[in-house]
Amino acid sequence: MYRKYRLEVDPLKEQPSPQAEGRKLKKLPDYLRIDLGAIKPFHETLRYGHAVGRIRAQEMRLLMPHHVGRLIEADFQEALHILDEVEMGDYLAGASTAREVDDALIDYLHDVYEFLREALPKDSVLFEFFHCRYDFHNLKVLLKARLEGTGEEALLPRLGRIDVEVLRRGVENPLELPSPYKEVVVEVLEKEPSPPEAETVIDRHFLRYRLYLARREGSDFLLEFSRTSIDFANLKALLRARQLGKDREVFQRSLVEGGYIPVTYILEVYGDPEEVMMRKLEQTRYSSRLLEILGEGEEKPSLSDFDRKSDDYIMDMLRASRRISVGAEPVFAFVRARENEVTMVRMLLMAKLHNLAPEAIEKMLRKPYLE
Amino acid sequence: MEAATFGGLSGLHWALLGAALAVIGGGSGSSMGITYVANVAGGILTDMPDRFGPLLPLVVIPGTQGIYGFITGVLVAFVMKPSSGWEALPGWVGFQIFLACLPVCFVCFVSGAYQGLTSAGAAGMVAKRREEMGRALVLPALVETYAVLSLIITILYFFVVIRPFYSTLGI
Amino acid sequence: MPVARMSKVAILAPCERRDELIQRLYELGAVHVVNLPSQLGDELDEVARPCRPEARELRLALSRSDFLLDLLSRFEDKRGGLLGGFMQERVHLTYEEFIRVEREVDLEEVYRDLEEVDIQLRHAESRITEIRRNLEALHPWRGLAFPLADLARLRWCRVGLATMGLLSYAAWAEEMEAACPHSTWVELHREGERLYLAVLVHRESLDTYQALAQKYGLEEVSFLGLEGTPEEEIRRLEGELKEEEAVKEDLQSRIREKLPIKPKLLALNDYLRNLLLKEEVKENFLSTERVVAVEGWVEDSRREELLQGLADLGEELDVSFSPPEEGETPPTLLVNSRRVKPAESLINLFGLPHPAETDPTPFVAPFFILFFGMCIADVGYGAILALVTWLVQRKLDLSEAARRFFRLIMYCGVAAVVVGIFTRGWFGVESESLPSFLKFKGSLDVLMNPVPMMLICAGLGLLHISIGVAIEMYDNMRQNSIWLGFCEQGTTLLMWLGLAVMALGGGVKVKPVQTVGTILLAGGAAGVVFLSNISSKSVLGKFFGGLYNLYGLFGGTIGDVASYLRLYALGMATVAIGSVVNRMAGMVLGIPVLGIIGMVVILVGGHIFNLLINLLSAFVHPLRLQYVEFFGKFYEDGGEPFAPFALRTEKVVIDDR
Repeated sequence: MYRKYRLEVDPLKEQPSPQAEGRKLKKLPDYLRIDLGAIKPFHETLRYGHAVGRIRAQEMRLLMPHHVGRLIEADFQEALHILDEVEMGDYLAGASTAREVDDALIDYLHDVYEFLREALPKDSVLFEFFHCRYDFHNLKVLLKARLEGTGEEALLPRLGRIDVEVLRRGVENPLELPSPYKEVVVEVLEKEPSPPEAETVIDRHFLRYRLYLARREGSDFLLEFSRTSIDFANLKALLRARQLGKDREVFQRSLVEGGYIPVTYILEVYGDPEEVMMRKLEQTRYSSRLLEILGEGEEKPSLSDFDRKSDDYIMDMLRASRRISVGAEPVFAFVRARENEVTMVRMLLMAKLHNLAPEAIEKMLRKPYLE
Repeated sequence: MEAATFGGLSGLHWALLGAALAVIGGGSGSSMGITYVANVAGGILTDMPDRFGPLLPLVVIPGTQGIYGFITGVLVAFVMKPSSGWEALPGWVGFQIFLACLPVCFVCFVSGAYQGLTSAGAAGMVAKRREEMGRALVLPALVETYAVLSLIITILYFFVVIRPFYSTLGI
Repeated sequence: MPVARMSKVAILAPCERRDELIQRLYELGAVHVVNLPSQLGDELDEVARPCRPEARELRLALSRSDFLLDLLSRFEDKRGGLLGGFMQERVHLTYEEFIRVEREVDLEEVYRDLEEVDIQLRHAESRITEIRRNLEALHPWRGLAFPLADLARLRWCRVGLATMGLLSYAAWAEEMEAACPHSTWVELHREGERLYLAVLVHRESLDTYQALAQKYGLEEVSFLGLEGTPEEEIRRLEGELKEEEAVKEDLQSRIREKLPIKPKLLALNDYLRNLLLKEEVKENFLSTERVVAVEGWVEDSRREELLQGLADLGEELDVSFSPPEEGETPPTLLVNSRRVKPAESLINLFGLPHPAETDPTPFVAPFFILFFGMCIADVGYGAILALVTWLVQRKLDLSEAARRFFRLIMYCGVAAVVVGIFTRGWFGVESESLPSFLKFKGSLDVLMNPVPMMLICAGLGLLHISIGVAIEMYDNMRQNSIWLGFCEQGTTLLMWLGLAVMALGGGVKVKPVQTVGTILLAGGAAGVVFLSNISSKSVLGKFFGGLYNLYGLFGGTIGDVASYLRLYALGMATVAIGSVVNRMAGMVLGIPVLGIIGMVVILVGGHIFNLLINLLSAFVHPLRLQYVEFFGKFYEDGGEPFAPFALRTEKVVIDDR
């Protein structure tokens, strides 16, 4: 069952990425293989068992709702004391300014990824699946700085896999970069697009690279996740393009292939009037959720809550995956939980630094994955 | 000597084939099962070395299938041996022994592996709460029921169905 | 036997007596305090508020003592072995000593000392790893007799330290010679496929050099902040390493010096925990300006004791008792005699019964022990088990729960001896070679003649599930009506009784008995069809529901009873493996001289292995029979454990309480 997919979308014409080299599973000759690996539970238990075990042990140290409740009420210093009860506390000890908090949290997240890399099998790209986001982010920042000639803002140097220096050189000389990034830079530099267009190019590469990684990992769950996020990106692009009244060609360029809803379908919908579009979109696999996401009962589908609601959808997906005891799902859900934890704590602490009222903070927070 | 072979194999051949299959099935099922749990347990122990005690029973519990296979092998070798030596065993009785071994062979293989998966899930429970160990241990034991039943059936075939032929044949 | 009856107790006391009240309740240890504010909800918000505990200081102290204990336990000599993992460290104190412990240890001071030491230690450790890493990195460059700091200071050239793969070296060198005439390099070291080079390049041809470096995978290495030649640096670093290690050693010994106070700290930790308990219990109280209200559950049998205990707190105190109201579930407390008590841990594993249910412990205990015995079914193993668990109870310092558990296993061992006598299990020695007095009439050869033993197992199974149904019937009769109990469960029992009598009649070949059995069976089956679904509204529902029940019962009974056959299979497994061990030992004996040693090793090792393997099955499978087959017939869990507000210790054993 695993690795049976042929790539429907050409992931990237070149080789995957240099880090992946030398990681290929050494395969037994066919006549010696008893393909129990093809049975999903067996295969996944062997592959992720160790990581899941380590995660189960760590899960007790996640931030629990009772922590969050207390955190909302506490002042900054108290909040640090409460956070001492979980792992994050060690990193945050002594932080007093926004910058220090940020640094501490980045350190923490970095260590979470390190932990993951240690725990996962050597040939797993699940780790890259999380990391590539930061690399694309950094690349985006650098390219933007180059196109606009402004300063580099909000770089996340420690979280990516690729050193920022390498990326910076790569922006000048794309051939130095490893594969998915090389193509991004080449494409952006060739077309010399406007900054927002450059952003869509990078996002498209990002989503497709993740899809590629999901296929490589051979996990149905990751695949579903990647394709769903592509769908949401496309839907968002659709709504925005309609609001701005963009040309069909321009719109077409911002679509990403590989989602569950075919790109042609979205293009077809694009020209239709409002109600027809909504009806057609309801026939997709997101029918039940789509109305809710697009703002039910309102005259026009609104973009305002789109991000948050599509996030909720993905969170629901993750929550359902908690029932799977061993596999890629718990690993994924764990990292997401840790990432959410960091976002939440950051938001909380910043709010504390700005002396926001507890009620205001409560509204801002999202549900953590452990309930 | 025509009755002495069945399908070209002598009684001893058939009996050994059955015994070997039972041992192979049970043993491979168990070793797979234990690998699965041990993999998860190893991960838990990396961060919680103090959980070794509660995890150990979960790790060894898929091992019983191997033992059932082993018992079947032993029964064939020691108990089903005719008192006048293996040469006296006709091929068709040997074939019966072979058939009687099959339940253990297949059921123990599959249930051993799957019990490993169940235990692997249950190990996560123990990591979260040490007190859950009792409950975590009962879940994989449900899987084992069928391995036990297959062993019972194999034994029943040996002693209730096949052994009576021995006295009629006078071996 | 029903669970303990509970009454609700409500106490009103003047606010200034609150702390005295808490202390008294704590000492009595009879009340399971209920969280009053959450029960009342928003109703009383204006007048009454929950008391706010002031626990921050205590929590801080507690976390400090946790830190200290954690630190100290890292430097302790661990008791190794499997058993060591199960054992916990305990401190024995009298109550007086326990109370005094806070004054004896200056937590603040110890914490300050050790935290400082801990920080320094971490620092030293990270220094040591850093130095080690540097040393490792420097190692290949030892051959370079040139100060590292000077490498960058050359004006016209650059000296780079670089590594590359051996395979691409030749091609690189060739191209370098052609492209960069003003360059030279020395090979300093070779490790496996890796070359370590010092490359001198003229500044003008630096670009070419770098391009080539990229092409052939040449990686430059730099040592920032290092001055002298690699050799000198290595010597210096080694010196530093020694120093740091000495510092580390010293710090560690300083921590070890503090080890003797660990028992005191353990006691203090428990003491603080109890203080916190007393502080946090206030959360459950409700207080107005003058009065504080406490509500909780108390065993009926301890009501008097509670009243007397609270009497001398003064007249203003108001204590009232009431039975549980409709919709309220009191906590569950199992009350059992000393003999049966060990089996309570098995119930706890499953989840306590709902307070309206019957406490199954008295039934669980004998059957669990018997089943366990049947799974081992060997006199030798049973005796070893009983002896070892008895010794463990006598010699080791165990908690009450662990002690009970071992007592349970000891009973199981005795049961195994008894069963073993009847099944001729003597360390797996085969039936033929046993002395004849052990093969008395009535004992069975389980290996060669399995059917009687299987029938016994099935019979026991039928009895066991019958008891389950009977308990359900009893509960039904107690809560609803006797008639309903008879209809719903009694008919099933009648049918099973008929089955048993019929089988017995068939076995002993007495025709009348068999006939009686058949009549009972038919009566029971008819009862199930016509009566078991009596509470259904329509007549058809009664009949077809009953028919369906009969069908379910038919399949269910076979499945349940077959499940008990595992007892036979597991008992036989013990014997079979044991006999293999004996045979192997017998074969080894044939070897001259070494034979005896080999035999002893195989016998001892093999039988211990067999015992351990079977111990696990013998524990898990009877447990499953209890939980799935037996409890499935009647048990409803969902009881909240009765946890009285009282002295609670983890590491400390108070001897005089």
